[in-house]
Amino acid sequence: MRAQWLEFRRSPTFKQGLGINILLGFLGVYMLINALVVGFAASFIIAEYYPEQDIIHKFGGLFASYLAIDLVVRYLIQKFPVISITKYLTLNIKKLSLIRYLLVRSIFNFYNLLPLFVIIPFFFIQVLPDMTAAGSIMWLLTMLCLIYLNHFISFWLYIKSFKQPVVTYIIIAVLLVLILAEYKGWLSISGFLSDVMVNIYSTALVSIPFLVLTAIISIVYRVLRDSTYLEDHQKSNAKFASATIGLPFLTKGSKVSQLIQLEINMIWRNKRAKLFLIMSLALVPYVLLWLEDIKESIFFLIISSLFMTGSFMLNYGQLIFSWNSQHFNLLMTHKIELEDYILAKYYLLAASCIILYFISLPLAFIDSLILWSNSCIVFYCVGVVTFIYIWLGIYFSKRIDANASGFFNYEGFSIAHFIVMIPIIVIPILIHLPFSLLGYDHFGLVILAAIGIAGILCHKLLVRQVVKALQKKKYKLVNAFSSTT
Amino acid sequence: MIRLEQVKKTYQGQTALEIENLACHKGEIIGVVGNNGAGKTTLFNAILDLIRLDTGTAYSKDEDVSASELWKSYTGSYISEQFLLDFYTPDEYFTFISQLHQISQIHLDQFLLQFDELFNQEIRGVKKYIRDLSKGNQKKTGIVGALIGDPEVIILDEPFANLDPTTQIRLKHIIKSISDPDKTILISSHDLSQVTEVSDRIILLESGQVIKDLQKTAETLKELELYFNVA
Repeated sequence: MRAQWLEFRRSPTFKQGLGINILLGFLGVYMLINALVVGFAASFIIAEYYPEQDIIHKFGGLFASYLAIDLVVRYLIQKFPVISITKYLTLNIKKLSLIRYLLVRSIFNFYNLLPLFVIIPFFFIQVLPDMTAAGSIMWLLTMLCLIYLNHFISFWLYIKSFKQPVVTYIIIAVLLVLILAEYKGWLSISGFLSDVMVNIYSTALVSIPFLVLTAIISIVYRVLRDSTYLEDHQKSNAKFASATIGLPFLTKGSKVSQLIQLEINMIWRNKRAKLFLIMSLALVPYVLLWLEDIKESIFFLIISSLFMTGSFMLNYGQLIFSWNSQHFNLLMTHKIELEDYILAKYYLLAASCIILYFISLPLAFIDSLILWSNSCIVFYCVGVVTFIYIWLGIYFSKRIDANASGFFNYEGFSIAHFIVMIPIIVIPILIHLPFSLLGYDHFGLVILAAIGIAGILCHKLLVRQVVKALQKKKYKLVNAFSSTT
Repeated sequence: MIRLEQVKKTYQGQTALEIENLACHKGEIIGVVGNNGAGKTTLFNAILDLIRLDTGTAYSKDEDVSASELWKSYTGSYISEQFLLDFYTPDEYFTFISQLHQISQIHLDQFLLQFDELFNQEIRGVKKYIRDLSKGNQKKTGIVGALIGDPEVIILDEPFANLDPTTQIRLKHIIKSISDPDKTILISSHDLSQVTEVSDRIILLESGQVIKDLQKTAETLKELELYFNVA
C-alpha cells in the first residue's frame, strides 16, 4: 500500500513534527535496548530474587503479568489503522484484501516488537540449554502466540470500543482488578499461569494457545469485514450539552471575564483540554515521591514548588493559543480587543497558579519549608512564567483538535515545547544560585518572589508588549490554525 | 465604507489578490463571483485583517484595518467554521456574541425571532454542541451570529452552499430585508443566479483581479453566464 506510506510522509505532522518523531524514536530505541538488557539479564535477576524457584517457571509467571499490563496499556495508547482505510473503501480494491492488509500491517508495531527483545535472549541463555530442542521451540512458539493473542485481543477491543464502549470498560476494569489482586497477593494468577505455561509445552495442551489465537484472528477478521462501512468508524458523539459553567462573579462584567468564562467552558467541554486539567491536578501529590531530595537540596525544592503551583500552566500553557485554533478567526474578527484576549489568558493562568497554591497548602504539614518556598514561587509563576508561556505561544502555535483523545497525543507540540522546559527550570535556579552559594537560601527565594511581584505589578505593561507581538504574528497564527489536515 | 488600495497578496509566487482600487459604499449589496481560487475568500480575509498584505492597505471607514481594531465593533462576518464556537450550543453562541455587543438577552431573543423560519426548529433550544450539528445548521448559526449587533458591514462567504433550497430562498429574503442605506453587505457565491438575484452590484474576480464590476441590470446574469461559458 504505497498510498499509506505517502500519507505518512506527506502529512504535515511528519515535516513539522520531525523533531518530535526523532525524540519519540530515541525513546523507542532506548526502551528496546532496556528490554534487550532485561532479556539477557533475566535469568540472573530471577536467580537472585527468587533463588528457590525454577527460573523458567518464574519467567513465565512474570511474563503473564507483563501481558496483562500490556493489554491495558495497549488499550489506552495503541492506535490501530482502522480508520485510515475508510477513504479507500470506494476505490476498486477488494474488501478482503483491504482487511488482510489491515491485519498484516497491524502486526508490525512497537508493542509486539518490545517483548521479543526480552524473550529471544532469554530463550538462548536459559531455555535452550535447559530443555530439549523440541520443548524449547514449543516454549518460544507459545510465547509468540501469547504476544499476538494480546495484540489481537486489543485490536478486537479497539474495534468494539467504537460501538460498545461500555463492554470494553468492563473488561478493562476486570483486568485491573485482577492485576491489583495479584499485586496485593490475594490471588496468585501469575503462579497459576506459570504452572500452566510450564506444563503447556510438555503436553498436548500446546495446541490451546494456537487454537485461541486462530479463533481471535478470525473474530477480528469477521468484525472488520462486517464493519467496513463509514458509519462504523464515526462515534455518534452527539452528546447532550452540559450546562454552561458560569462563575457568578464572571457572568456580568467586562469582556475579559466573558473570555475567561469562554475558556473555562472550552476546557470543560473538550476531551483533551479536560485531560490536561485533570493531569495537572494529579501532578500535585506526585511531588511527595521525591520528598527526601527536596529536604536535601534547595534546587529540588524550587523545582517542585514550580511544579506544584504551576502544573496547570506548565501543561496547558504549552498550547496556550492552540486551544483556540478552532475558533481563532472568531476571536480575531468579533468585537474583542486583543488586549482583552491576552488579559483573559493571563488571568486564567495566574488564577490556576493561585488555586494550585491553596490546594498544595496541606503539604506544609509535612515540611514548613515547602510552604515557604511555594509561597515565594507562586509569585514568580504568576509574574514571570505566565508571560514566558504567552509570549512563546505567539511564536510556536499549531492547530490542534481540542476534543481529540489526549493520551499520547502530540498534536500541536514541537521540539520547542520540550526545550522551553529547560529555561523555565534553569532560570529560577540561576537567579537563586548566588544566594544559595552565600548561604542565604531563604533570601534567594524572597528575591524570586520579588521578581514575580515586579512582573505582577507591571502586568498591564507586559500584556501590551505581548499584544504588539501578537498583532504582528496574528496572520501567521491564522494561517497555522486554518490549515486543515 | 470599505476601500482597498494597491492591494497585493501572493502565495508562493502565485498572485492571490491584486486590486488597484476598489470601493464598497454604504447601502450596497455586493456579490463577489469567480471560480475556485479566484481570490474571493482572500478578498474577504483582507478586509477582515486575517492575512498580511504584501502591499497596499484595506480601509474600513477610512481606517486601516491592520492598525485599528475599531472595525470589529461594526463588522459581522462568517467565512468558515472557525467563526463558530464548536463547544457551545447555538443558543450559548448567540448569547456570547450579543454580550460582546452589550445586548441583553431579552433584546437578543427578540432579534432572533425573525429567524425562526430559517432555523426550522433545529437550532434554537437544541441541546447540542455546534460541532455536532449538520453542516447546514452550522452555517445558519454562523450567518445569524454575524448579523447580531446590527453590524454596518456584513461579510458572508458562500452563504448559500450546503443549504437546502427552501433555506436558500429564506436566506435570500433575509439578506434583502436587512439591507438598508447604512449597510454594506458582501457575499460570495458560485451560484450565479442566486447571487445576481440578491445583490445590486457584482464583482467578478479571476486570479485575484477584478475582471468586471457591474451594477446589476436585467442583462447581468446573461453576461456572467456568457463569461463563465467562455472561460
